[in-house]
Amino acid sequence: MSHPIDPAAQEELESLSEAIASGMEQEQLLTLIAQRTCQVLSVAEAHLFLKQGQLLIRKASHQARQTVPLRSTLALSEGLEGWAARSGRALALEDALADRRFRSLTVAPPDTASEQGHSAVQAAAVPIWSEHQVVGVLSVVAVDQLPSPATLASDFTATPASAPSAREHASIKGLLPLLAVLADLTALALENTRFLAREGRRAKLLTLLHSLAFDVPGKAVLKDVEAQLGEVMEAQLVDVLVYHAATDELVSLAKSETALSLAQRELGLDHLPLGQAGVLAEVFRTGQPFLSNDLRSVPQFPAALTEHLGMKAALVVPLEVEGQQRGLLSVMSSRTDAFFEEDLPFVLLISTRLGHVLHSQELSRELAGAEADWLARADQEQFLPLVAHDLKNILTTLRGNAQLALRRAAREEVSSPEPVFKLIATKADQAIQLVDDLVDASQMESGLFRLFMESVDLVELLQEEVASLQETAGEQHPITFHSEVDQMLVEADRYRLSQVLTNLLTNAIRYSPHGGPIEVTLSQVSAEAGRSNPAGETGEPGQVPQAVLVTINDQGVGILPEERERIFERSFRGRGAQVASGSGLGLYISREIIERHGGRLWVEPREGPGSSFRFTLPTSRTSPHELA
Amino acid sequence: MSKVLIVDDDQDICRLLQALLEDEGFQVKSVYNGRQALEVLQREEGWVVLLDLRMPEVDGREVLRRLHQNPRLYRKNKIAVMSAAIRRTRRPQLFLTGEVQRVMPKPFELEEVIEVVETLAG
Repeated sequence: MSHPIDPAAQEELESLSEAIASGMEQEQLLTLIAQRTCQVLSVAEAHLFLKQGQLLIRKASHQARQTVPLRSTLALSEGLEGWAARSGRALALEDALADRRFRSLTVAPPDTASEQGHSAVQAAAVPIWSEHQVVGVLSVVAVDQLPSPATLASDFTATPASAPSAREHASIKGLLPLLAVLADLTALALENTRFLAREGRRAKLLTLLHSLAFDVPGKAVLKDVEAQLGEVMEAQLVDVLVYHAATDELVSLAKSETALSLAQRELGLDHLPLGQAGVLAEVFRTGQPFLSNDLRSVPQFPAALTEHLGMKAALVVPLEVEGQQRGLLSVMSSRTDAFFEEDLPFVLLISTRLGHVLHSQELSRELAGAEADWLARADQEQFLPLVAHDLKNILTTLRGNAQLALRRAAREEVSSPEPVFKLIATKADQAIQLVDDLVDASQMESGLFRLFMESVDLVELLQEEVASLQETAGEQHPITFHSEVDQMLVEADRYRLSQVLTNLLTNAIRYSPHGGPIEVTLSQVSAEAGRSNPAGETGEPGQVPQAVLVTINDQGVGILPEERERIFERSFRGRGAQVASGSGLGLYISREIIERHGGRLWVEPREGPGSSFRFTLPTSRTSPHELA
Repeated sequence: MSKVLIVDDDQDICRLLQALLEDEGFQVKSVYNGRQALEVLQREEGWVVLLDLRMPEVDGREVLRRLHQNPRLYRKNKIAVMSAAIRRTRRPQLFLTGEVQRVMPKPFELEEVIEVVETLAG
């Protein structure tokens, strides 16, 4: 999609390029550009800066409205001009008065309060590029007069038709492409005015610059640029070659459908191995442009291009994207003596602009990719809980029916009920646990996992858990509980804490195939021993922060020293795995839960067989008395 | 009160609960959506209602809302809601709002169902 320039602006720009080509002093030229910028864009002020080291020197200004004293230099760190020079990007401020980057240029800021009441001020700056470097900045200020308070008051009595109307509030963003064309013309004026002297090319050149000046280029921009650059340069073959590291080739992005371009593709010349690219490889490696009007005398030029496509002259410049050498822009002609030294800055400028276009295309592709990833993930995050819900319903029915059959057998005093019912009930139970673990682990990964905190008496909770697990454990595994205190309040998610205890106690039973006592103890420790984050708060003055330590000792198969940390990883299965079954996620989830409470969970070896699982939790600051 | 009304769009769950509670000597009726449940409750009172929250069209929350608009209906029945979305820890909050007498999280254990129904049937 090409972007035609508004006819009035086109005429102004053509006359400006003609003036540039007519040859005049640089100072005069820059003043002319500032003045024409105000006319073309209908703005109040235009300023032209050139970069010198860390400074922007103001070379020309035009103020259509009133003349305000201005500073003659800006540091690169100052103002919207400095921003544009530093970043190499265009910047538009729709509410300039609200932006501190705006006021840097004026010597004495005018009375902002009164100005704010009467006008809307917008500002924009674009960088001026030459040979892949920012060499200056062109900036403009647009002022839209708003009705003054007095006018507003009289509006109530006046008819709407007689009321003075404020100028249309168009966003200054819409001016950026034309401003960029003016900056490009400035660059050409600085480099070599002779380039613009060839009359026939000026209109085409403006269209080309304008096509390249859009932030979000259309898909067909490359095709347009190739065609327009071909016209401006009177060249038969324009090619954008990009280096592909994977194949070590320069690959043509050419999209145009001229006979030569088609032939190039048919002959396979759109892929040039770097090793056979001769001069082209040299330009790519060194970044030095190449110009020849008689390719037959250059043996290092790829023979295929001269022999098969009949190219006689070539101008090749490097293509950079974000300061990185990415490929080449080549312009070739079937005539000898087609190109001049003065064409070089122009082709380089086009190459710089193409680099910006490619970069913004890459950015939008990256953004699109990131968005697709995010959508897929969000979809997955919602999908899993939904499936889990349905799956658990099915498993509940399955388990319930098996349990019902067992109950009926017991009621009818059947001495040996069908063993398959017991198996179905147990397996359905395990499957429900697995589904729960999967949902928990996935929510922990995705950040959707939440705790619902309340005040919980840990002593009571432990008593309940021990009693409940004792039923499943049977006489083989007597579980004892000992606590230093009668009550221990912690701020916790009761359900999640009970999940951790069930998991640890179930493990203790599972991994003790030969039975043996399981001891649960609760004791108080200092907060330093108990906190997961030692840099945390130190508590109220005069109060010693406390933590609580819960220990679960078993006499089971124990844990190898090298596995003591790994057992808390996702899906780790230890050597006891043969004797037990589970999702393998239990300890991972348990540690996450305890750490999200501000505590720690770890395992210690014991003298003799078995292991000792320990966790700490910060104790509640609220005393039982206060709670009551 | 020995009548139980089971409201769940999953007919397999209804069948299981009905068989379980009939074994325990309750008179049980199953309906599969909120609209049918309201019809039954308007015709007859004195139910222990096991109400699933997640159902298509008139769901469990809507049933609760309409019952609250009619205090007589609400007082003459006992309600336990069943839900996979409500965790055990949320129980107190739901009690405090006075909406329901019991919450039965899914998946449930059969013993738990019997205990809930026996408590509410009093």
